[in-house]
Parts: sequence; C-alpha cells; structure tokens
Amino acid sequence: MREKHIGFRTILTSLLFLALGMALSSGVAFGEERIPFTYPAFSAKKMPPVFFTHDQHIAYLEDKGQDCTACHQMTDEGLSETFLNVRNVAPGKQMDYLHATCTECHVKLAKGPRLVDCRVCHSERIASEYAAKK
Amino acid sequence: MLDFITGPLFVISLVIFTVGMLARVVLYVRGLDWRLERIAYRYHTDRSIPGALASIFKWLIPGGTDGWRTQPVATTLFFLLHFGAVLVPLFLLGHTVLLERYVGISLPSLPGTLADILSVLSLAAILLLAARRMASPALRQLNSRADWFILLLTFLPFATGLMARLDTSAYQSWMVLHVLSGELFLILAPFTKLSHIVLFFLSRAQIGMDFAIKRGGATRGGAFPW
Repeated sequence: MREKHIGFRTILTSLLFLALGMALSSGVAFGEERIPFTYPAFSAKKMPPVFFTHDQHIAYLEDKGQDCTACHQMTDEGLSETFLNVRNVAPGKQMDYLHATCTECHVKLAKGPRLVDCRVCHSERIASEYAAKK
Repeated sequence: MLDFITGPLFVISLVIFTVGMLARVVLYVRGLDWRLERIAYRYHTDRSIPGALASIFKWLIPGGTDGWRTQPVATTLFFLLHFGAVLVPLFLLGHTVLLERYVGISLPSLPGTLADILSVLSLAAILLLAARRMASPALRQLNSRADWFILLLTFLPFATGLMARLDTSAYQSWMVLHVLSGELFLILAPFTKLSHIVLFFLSRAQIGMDFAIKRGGATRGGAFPW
C-alpha cells in the first residue's frame, strides 16, 4: 500500500516537472536575418554551426550608442570582418575565446544566451534551415 | 536567475557534494570496528589489499560476480543505467566545455550520438528498474521511500537533459530545469543513498578484505565466489 502511494507520487512529481517545462516557454525568435560564423572554420563539426543574429546585435548596440568597433577591431586594411581578436588567438584556443567573449558580454548585460544555453546558438533547426536556403 | 543557478548555486552544490562525500568516507572508515566485525583490518595487508581491489574490480564488471550472474536482467538494466550515469555527466561535450571554461579542467568528450544513446538507455533502464521494483513482491517489501527517492533524483537530470537535447522552443526552460535537477542531485547525494557513489568502493573494499583475511578468499586467487 505504502509503495503504491510513493510510486504514484513519483509519477506525479515527474508530470509536474514536465508541465512546468512546457509552461515556461522561451522567446527564441525566428525568421530574422542571421549570418554564419565562418571564421575560424572548425573542422570537428561536433555541434551545429552558429548562425549569428547580426541585425539583432546591431539594433541593440545602436540603442546603447555603440558602433561596429564594439565587436570588430579597426586594422590597417579597415574594419576587421572577424569577431574581436579571434584571428590572433592560437587555433586550439579560438573556440574557448569565442565562447568566453560572447557569453561574458551576455552575462554582463543580462541579455542573450549564456554558456549553458548551448543550443540557442548551436541550433540544429536553424543550421538546417540555412543549409536548405543555400 | 540563470546566472545565479549556473554560478553561485553550482559552486555551492559542488562544495556540498565534495565535502559531504568526503565526510561520508571518513565516517565510514571511522565506523569500522575490528572487534565487532572480527576482521584484523590493519594486519595481513598482503592478502587484504588484493582482496579489496579484487572485490571492487569484479563488481564493476557486468557479470563479474555470482551476484551479478544470478540476476541477468536486473544486472543488464543496472549497468545500462550506470554507464550513462557515470559517463554522460562527466564527458558530455556540453559539460566538458563548461568545466573547461569555469573550472579549467579539460576532459575528453563523448561523440554526440554515443552520448544520446547512453542517455536514452539510462533513462529506459531507470523506468524498467522502477517497473521491476513495483512488479516483484520481494522488492516491494525491500524498497523504502529512500530507494524511490534516489531513483527520482537520477531520473530528473536525465529526463530534463534529454528534453533540452530535443532543442524545442522551450530549450532554455528545460535547461534551467536540467541545471536545477543536477544541482539537487549533487546537494542531496551525500545525505541519501546516492552516497553509494563513493561508499560502493568502501563497502566492496571492506567485504573484500574480510573474505581475503579470514574466509579463505586469498587462497582462491581472487576468485572467491562472493
């Protein structure tokens, strides 16, 4: 009798958890302009490639009175197309550098995906959507 | 909220887990009584140490002992659960990236597909082990509230982790629940039967020493059929 009761409670708790997860819906936007992160060209393909919400970031930075140099360094050949200092980071450290610099800013501004939100940036859905467009 | 649960709360969970588990180890060893158990733990180290290691090692192998072989179905489910429960938390790519960034420890990572398979098998094993507990009259008698509780504590991180893995529109909500359930597991592990994560090694070592020192286990080349 006692065991039956506990079994039921186990299931009930699981269902409550499930319902909570469904209820808290996240606000991942769709259909906006995204550009792929092409440098560095990671060969391992362990996770879906990142398609970056460039327009969204520009809009946010403009709102804060910042310009392109927030993310793109000025070089002798003009504005660098790559993100911050990533070209000067050792190849083995570039992924860590990108993870760190992207998420540090998000944490500081309390906005955007944190490091724990892997699949917000590395989304299979978005990656395949963009692969289909090509 | 996410910054709090992945930052300070995660550190607190890890500290409670580590200190708590160490305390369990110390209390276990201090709780041994050579008079009560009639084992001269400190003597015959030539027999007791190999005996302890053999006992730990054999119980880590599927079918390595009589105890495992007499219940093949339960053994299979048990190992399916534990392969995932040990390998996925430590070596999942998402976990190793976080560990490297925040703790500076660099671990190799499992291929994504293998991690998926291990997680699904673990979750299936948890559900089948629960069904077995409910179906068997003997297990219904033996299983306490505490036994069900640790099964639930193990179920939640796997279930929420896999839901997050599905990459639905509720991804970030599942991730919050996954982090919280993982931290709940870490915080409660030292105070529940999940303490077997470390105490398994101690109780196997103790029984191994017992059998090797005084029950003739050492004369059987570590093949004592316990």
